[in-house]
Amino acid sequence: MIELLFLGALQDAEVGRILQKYEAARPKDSEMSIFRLDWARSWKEAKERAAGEKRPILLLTVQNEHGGLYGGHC
Amino acid sequence: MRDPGDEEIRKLWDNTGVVPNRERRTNIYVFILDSQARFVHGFGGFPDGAINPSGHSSSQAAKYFRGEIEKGLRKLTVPDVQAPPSLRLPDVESGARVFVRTRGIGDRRGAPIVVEAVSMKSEEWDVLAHPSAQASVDAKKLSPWLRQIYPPGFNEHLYPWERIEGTLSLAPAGEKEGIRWAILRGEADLSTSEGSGRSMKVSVEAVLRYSTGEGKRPSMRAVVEGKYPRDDEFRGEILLPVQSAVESRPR
Repeated sequence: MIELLFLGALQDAEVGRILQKYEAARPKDSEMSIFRLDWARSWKEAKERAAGEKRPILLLTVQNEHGGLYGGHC
Repeated sequence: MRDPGDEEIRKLWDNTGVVPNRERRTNIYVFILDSQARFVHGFGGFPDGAINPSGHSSSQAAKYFRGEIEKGLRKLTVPDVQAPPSLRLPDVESGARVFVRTRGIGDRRGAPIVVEAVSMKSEEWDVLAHPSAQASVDAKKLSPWLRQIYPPGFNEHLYPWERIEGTLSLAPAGEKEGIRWAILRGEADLSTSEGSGRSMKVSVEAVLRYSTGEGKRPSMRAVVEGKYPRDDEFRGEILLPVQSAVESRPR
């Protein structure tokens, strides 16, 4: 019984350690401010929102074989 | 962008005079359009007409972008700024969100953080169903999110990893108040034949949480770490620390 309790405590500690490691590795909101910008997910959405909300569009274009500016792999 | 608007966007490149001839061209151009999507102002992606980011710090690039955006806005009447939107990260209905941080390149803070959201089908979660005893997991089955763990901005590595190899262990890690836990851990080899080919060995540690009534699909919080090999013009081959946090979505 003591061995089971000890094993349970070890497992809890290990789960806690990995969760803490994940929290430390996950970027803080302040490091991802680019995602506070009001992105549209398509050209169509951008045009519709701009016309409806009477706002300009900032269009970033990249010539690439793969990836996208939005996620960061480009 | 890959939608029917590509033709309209191509016209901005071809007809506004923003994009120079091929010899002096970079691959990033920015356009400011009015509310009817008409051209107002445009500029290249790097300061001083540069065709790549070398020679300019992040703060210089930010100052440049701000200046060019202000030039465009002076030609427009814009509504008062609303409160900035809350953070909206890339997301999927069902899958995983992968954060990738690379150290040792660019400014002291490293390369820009990558945030990729990958969809996963139910059957792709089955491999992480709660184990009754320690079990092996083929790393290949985790490829939807493992393949995204590579640095951004390297011309020799544009696509996700092609091959994922290795065997990890998935072991029960207790139960408390109706919640069951498991730990996934081990190493995997990620490789690609793109360019001259490269590979990176990573360590994976993840906690999986299984709530009753939610079927086999767990919540997952993982950390993946490795060293990415790169040829540096002056230093030869260098190893760049790469760290990724992975979280299941929607929970």
